[in-house]
Amino acid sequence: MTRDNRTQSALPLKEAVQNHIAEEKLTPSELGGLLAMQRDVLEEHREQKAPRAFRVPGWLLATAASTVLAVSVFMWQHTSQQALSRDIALEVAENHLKLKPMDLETQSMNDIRRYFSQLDFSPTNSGLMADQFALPEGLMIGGRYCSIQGITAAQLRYKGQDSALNTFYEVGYDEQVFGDLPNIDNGETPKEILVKGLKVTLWVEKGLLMALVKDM
Amino acid sequence: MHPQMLDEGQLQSLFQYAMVLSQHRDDAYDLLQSAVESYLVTLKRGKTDIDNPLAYVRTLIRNRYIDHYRHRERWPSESFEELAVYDISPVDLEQLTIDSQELEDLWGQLSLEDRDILYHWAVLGYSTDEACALLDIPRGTFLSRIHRLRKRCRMIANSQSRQE
Repeated sequence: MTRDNRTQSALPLKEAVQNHIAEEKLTPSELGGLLAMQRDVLEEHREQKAPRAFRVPGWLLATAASTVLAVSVFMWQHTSQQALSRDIALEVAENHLKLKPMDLETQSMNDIRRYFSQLDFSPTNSGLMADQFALPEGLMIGGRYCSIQGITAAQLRYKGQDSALNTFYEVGYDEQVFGDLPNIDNGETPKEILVKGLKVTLWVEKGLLMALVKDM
Repeated sequence: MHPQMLDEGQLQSLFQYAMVLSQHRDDAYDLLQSAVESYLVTLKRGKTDIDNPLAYVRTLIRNRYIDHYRHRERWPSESFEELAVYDISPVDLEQLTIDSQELEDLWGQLSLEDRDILYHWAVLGYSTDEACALLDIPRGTFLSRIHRLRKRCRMIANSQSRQE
């Protein structure tokens, strides 16, 4: 390019910056994924908030009000909890399938604690991982930051004795965000959800929400 | 479409902002995805008074990126020298010209905050003073950045002249 040509192609800085930034675009599939994610969440939210389409006569409403209310509350809680658990399971399953590069490679939970200083909790070993899933600390290969329902979380990876890769997630448990999930410290049984051909196990332990994703 | 749903144009714009900050395609997509997730969680919790979802999610992207880089200690900190005041009018920025290849060369050398300011100024249409106030960057620091930007533009132009 000659000096004259370059001078001719020089743009005001503002326009050049606008052009440079506008070159970056989401692919159609990335765009579709983000639109679908919003639709799923917002439509479901709207359905949950939609008013009932029919009217019950006043006298019947008066006699049945308490029953209807109790059933409605139970159903609403049940439905939203199911949907919320499924959202969490889908999110960790997607992280499992993406398998992005690890931030840290280690077999030590102490290294994990030192590295993941950005979390608002301290990563810890789960009693279930060694006892129930045969994934003791020694089979850990590392971890990376991730998020669950918008909250920063740790993803730890374990290579099982069968060489299968398992991803394990920890995040500070907040019932307002994650809903009511079984707490194994209270003797409750972890919840299993099958999504995308994977088995996701969710439970609360030591004040943390934990999730394990395994191939089936 | 749900009134609070981000449309295609808004998502592309947010992705471009995430690219301005991270300069890495995968990181930018992750940043955008996690910010949109966080926005949806906020809506699900019943917060309905978000007047400008685009600005709200843009702020989420910036905060997340800053948190991440502070953690990795890569977020730039200002040196005392950089606080020196330069006699440069904001009008100078409007008068700078650059060709696309020069900008391409320069863009990768700019600091995060420089790119952030340029984005707010060139794409979002803020004045430089407004951008400084919004991004909480002292005006003196900003002027010193522009001073360096002009020097870099000149250096690139000079080195290309010599090559020719």
